[in-house]
Amino acid sequence: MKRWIFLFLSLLVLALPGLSQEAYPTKPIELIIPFAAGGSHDLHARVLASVAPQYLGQPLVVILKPGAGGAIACQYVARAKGDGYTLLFGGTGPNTILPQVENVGYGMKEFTPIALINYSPALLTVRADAPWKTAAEFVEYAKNNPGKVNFAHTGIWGASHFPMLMIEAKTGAKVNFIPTEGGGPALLAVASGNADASFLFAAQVLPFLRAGRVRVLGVTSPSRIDPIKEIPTLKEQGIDVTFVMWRAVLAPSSTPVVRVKKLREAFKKMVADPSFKALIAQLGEPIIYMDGPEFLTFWRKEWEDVSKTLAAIKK
Amino acid sequence: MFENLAYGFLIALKPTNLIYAVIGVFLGTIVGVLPGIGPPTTIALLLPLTYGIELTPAIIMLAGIFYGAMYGGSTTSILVNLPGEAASVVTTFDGYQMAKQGRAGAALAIAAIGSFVAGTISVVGLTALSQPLSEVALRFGPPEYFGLTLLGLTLVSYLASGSMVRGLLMALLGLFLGLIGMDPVQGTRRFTFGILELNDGLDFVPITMGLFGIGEVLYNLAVKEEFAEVLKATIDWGRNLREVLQTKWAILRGTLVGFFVGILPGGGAIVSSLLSYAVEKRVARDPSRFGKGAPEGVAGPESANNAAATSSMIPLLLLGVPGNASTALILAALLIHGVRPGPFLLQDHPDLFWGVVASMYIGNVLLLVMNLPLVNVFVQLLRIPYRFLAVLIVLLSIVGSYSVNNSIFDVWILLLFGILGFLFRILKFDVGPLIIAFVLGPIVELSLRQSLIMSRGSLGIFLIRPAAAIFLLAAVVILMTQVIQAFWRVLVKAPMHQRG
Repeated sequence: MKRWIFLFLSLLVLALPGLSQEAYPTKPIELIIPFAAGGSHDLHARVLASVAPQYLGQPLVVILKPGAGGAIACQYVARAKGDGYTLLFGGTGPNTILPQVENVGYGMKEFTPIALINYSPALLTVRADAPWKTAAEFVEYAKNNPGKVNFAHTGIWGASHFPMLMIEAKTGAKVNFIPTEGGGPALLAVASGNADASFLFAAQVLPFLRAGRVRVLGVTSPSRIDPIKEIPTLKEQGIDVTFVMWRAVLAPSSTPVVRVKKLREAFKKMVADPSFKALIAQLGEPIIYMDGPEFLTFWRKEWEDVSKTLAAIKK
Repeated sequence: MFENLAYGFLIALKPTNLIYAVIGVFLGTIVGVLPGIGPPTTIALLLPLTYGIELTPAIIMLAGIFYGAMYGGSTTSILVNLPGEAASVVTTFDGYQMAKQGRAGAALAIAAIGSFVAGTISVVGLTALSQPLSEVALRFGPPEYFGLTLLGLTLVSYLASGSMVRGLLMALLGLFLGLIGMDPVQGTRRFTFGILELNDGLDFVPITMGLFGIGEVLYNLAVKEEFAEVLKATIDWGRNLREVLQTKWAILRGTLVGFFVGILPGGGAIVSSLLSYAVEKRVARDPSRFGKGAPEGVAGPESANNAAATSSMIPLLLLGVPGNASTALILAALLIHGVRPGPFLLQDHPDLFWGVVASMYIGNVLLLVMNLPLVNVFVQLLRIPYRFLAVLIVLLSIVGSYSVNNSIFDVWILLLFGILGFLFRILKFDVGPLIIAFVLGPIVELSLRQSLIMSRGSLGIFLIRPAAAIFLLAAVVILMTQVIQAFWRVLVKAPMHQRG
């Protein structure tokens, strides 16, 4: 009898960790970045990785898989084993726009959001001697003079192209799109007057704004944003367009609920970490945290906005 | 200007900064020598480490890796026909031939000394002219890029070392390969066959490593070439230095081309070395020596890529616009430290700018001291039996191709182009024109279409912009002289067969 009790007790002890709490994570977690080294996703991911071990108990390994506008990395994670060891650092382009304009084999339902870290608006940037003083004037001009504004963008369907497409769809404005190789060349095109306007990001625009080489008429975020609180939103100026480039941690949707919960808790704490906050502030970016469910609502709304714009373009 | 430079030296000579400069150029040399691990990969790896240190030493180190790699990059190009980093592809054209003739020592010495001269002259240019030059870079728009790259493309006709027809065929193939991927204006897919990996086009690294490195390995294994007997000749320093002196004008021309192209955000070290090679062949009295071990073919491009690496600090620091993957990562390091490079950098962070510039003077001297003695060491590598060397080359090529995008697809591209490279060697098709067309073709296309969109279809935009008009005029003159020469040969002189 004693023997039986002993056996029963030892089995119970063995089973306990499984019942109460499974051991996770027990090895490093990979965070897949859909863009090239040195980009804003990469920089944010490295900051996350620097604080992650304290909260995950395991290192967060940053792996870059650039290509096809981020679709390669998203496909990779969508098809990965949902064991909580492969995560995606997703974004607007690869996760909201691409699946709707191209056959990439994934959409929203392949991913479970863990946390939104932050987002950046695009800045409506015009050449220093442009006649428009507000975004409303700019839109009005582009409406009355279709195709007259030379608008540099950084790639088809990209963060610089899409918000302008949204404005066109909403207001009937028409611009002359000039594709460039990226944010740098687009900025130089506006600063040198080779183009009249573009949607660009704060990190590169602000020094040129200060030097008086360009002007910024508005931001695309839903509300004014740190550290450029003085620039009004498009919405404030009566243009009903919002568009942001978000950075959120996503897991494959096959990841077990327990692990998703654990990850969500860990990332929530990471975002509140003082050294994390300090490093992100140095990048000149705000922290705009949303938990998984809250972000899912945000993402769904964005998905619908994009699909409406695309429908309007196709008409 | 001299106060600024003196101030810069005060900063650069601080012990910590000096140590970081040494670490940077040392790592750069290693990274340059090792094929497959380029400066972008290394800088990306070290980027997180720079969070913890001050900004100026961090940038001094990262810049050191970048221009230091330009020194070492020629080593494996010369010794085993495998570019040590992307900008040294051109060095294989003549450098490897020199090595085969027992002149590896001379080629390596030319590369080291040319790099030093170019690096130093460019830092002087950086010291004196960075502000006005950043304005030049800013004004260089699509029509100017079109003029410059079209001029480069017409120089392709000088690049083929064998028959002209074969050279032009290869250039067409290069143009075609450059077309693969997403159309930049409409976004339609060209020749991607639904393969997502092809959307961004083919990558430069696996193509060149395949065509040169793997192709050469296959060829050597097929024809059983051995290096051992040509080793003795390479250690003769008197002869090596004489060869270096003969290339002094090529070094200066390469420096000039490289410095200018490096200032342009859309330029970069690869374009500069390709253009420099074309220029050297154009000005040479006997262009037929090229591709067969002409020392100018090493001196020009190697100087050009160093000059370009140095002058690319101008668009990076004063415009905040990086021209290539390495400077894009240095930009990231700046952003992490809360510094946004741009027109105010000189005012806001003079210690950073002048400290980095002064460290480059020191770095170039260090690199020369480090690289010249290494010439003898590296030449000894040729003593390794080729069957071992071959395995190493293949291994490094695979690692290098994979690491560009962490993608196995690029390894398949490498192997495909390895086989193509082998076939081209056997059929005596020169890959030089293919490479230059592959690099310049997409820039020509995009800048032409951008210009025409800007002008709403009017070709007049190329005439009203003086710089663009001058480049295009030069291209037309070059083409016309070619045609006239060809007619002259056919009609006036007795028809004779061309080589090849």
